Amino acid sequence: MAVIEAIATHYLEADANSVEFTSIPQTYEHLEVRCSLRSTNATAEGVNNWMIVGSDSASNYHMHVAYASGTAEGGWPAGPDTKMTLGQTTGGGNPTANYTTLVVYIYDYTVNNSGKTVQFLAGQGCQNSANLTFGGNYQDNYTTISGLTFYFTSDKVARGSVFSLYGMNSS
Amino acid sequence: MADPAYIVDGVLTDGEAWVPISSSTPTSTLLTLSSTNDGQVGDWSQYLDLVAIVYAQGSVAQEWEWLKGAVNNDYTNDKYAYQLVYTDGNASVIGVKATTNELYYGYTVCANESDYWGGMVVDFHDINSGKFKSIQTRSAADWGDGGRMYLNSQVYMGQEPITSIQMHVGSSGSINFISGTRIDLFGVLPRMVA
Repeated sequence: MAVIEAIATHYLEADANSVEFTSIPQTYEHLEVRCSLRSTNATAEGVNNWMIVGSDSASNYHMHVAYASGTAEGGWPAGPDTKMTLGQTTGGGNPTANYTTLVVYIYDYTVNNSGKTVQFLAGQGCQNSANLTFGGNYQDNYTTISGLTFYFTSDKVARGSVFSLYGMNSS
Repeated sequence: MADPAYIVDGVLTDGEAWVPISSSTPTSTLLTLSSTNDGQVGDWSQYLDLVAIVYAQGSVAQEWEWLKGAVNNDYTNDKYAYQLVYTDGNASVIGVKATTNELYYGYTVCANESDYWGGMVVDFHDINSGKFKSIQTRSAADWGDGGRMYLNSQVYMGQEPITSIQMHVGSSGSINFISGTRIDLFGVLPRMVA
């Protein structure tokens, strides 16, 4: 078995309400999702990225982040929340060729005797409005992870976005 | 011509998603990594992303210097924009946004601190798309009595595929990489079969 294996890749040929990975095999040790994404919001320079694990939309998610936008910077905790935050994505406030990058690591996702740990780095180095967020999330749920859903609050994930899920093995 | 490893007896398979492309040990002022455009491992047109793992030192007599560079050998004014956050361990984390003519990969330690090296991981995203190209960096270096850490999201405002990457210590191209510098490049494949 490959050490890092591509489990699934979604190329959005049309705007979508969300992007889902389902039936994730339980045969890896960690997961990585690599994304290049954009929101359909007509004016926003940054809309929040959300993710839920499986069908868990209960108030089980907690996070800490470090954030910078221009010369502003900061960090804060949040939660419990009904969804996981993964930084921000550009919308119509930046040129249409600008897409945000997001890399998410999901650790020890098959464990069933503890909650789940997620780390992410999201950023957009746009000439208009830029931001960068590094953070960690905790899902207070012992169920093994077999599904992930990425979405925005009210906007669609724009055509041209790519989400690719990888499984990591130690041997 | 040899097939890539993911084509076995003429059949497309999903093997290792991270493909080692090259390892470089530069000692001169400029490292250029280029797609071979030949349908083999070094042909970047098959990859979704590229990842460079960098371990570097510069020859200049100072504590540290930026590892800078470009994609597609493009140093046009205002062709790059970045949002970074950094700290030197003393000051609070600082955010900076700017538009430039080159990429800022991260920090290299230099000849005044010869036992120390700078390390960074650089992700080049969706390199064959028609988007502006996003480059994400995680960089940190400690040299005993000092150090810096840095996260950076950059954009190359060009829509053509990335076919070459340039790296050099500082802007001028006058600083050599020190022997022991190592830069490994990986290609990241998407899922290719159902």
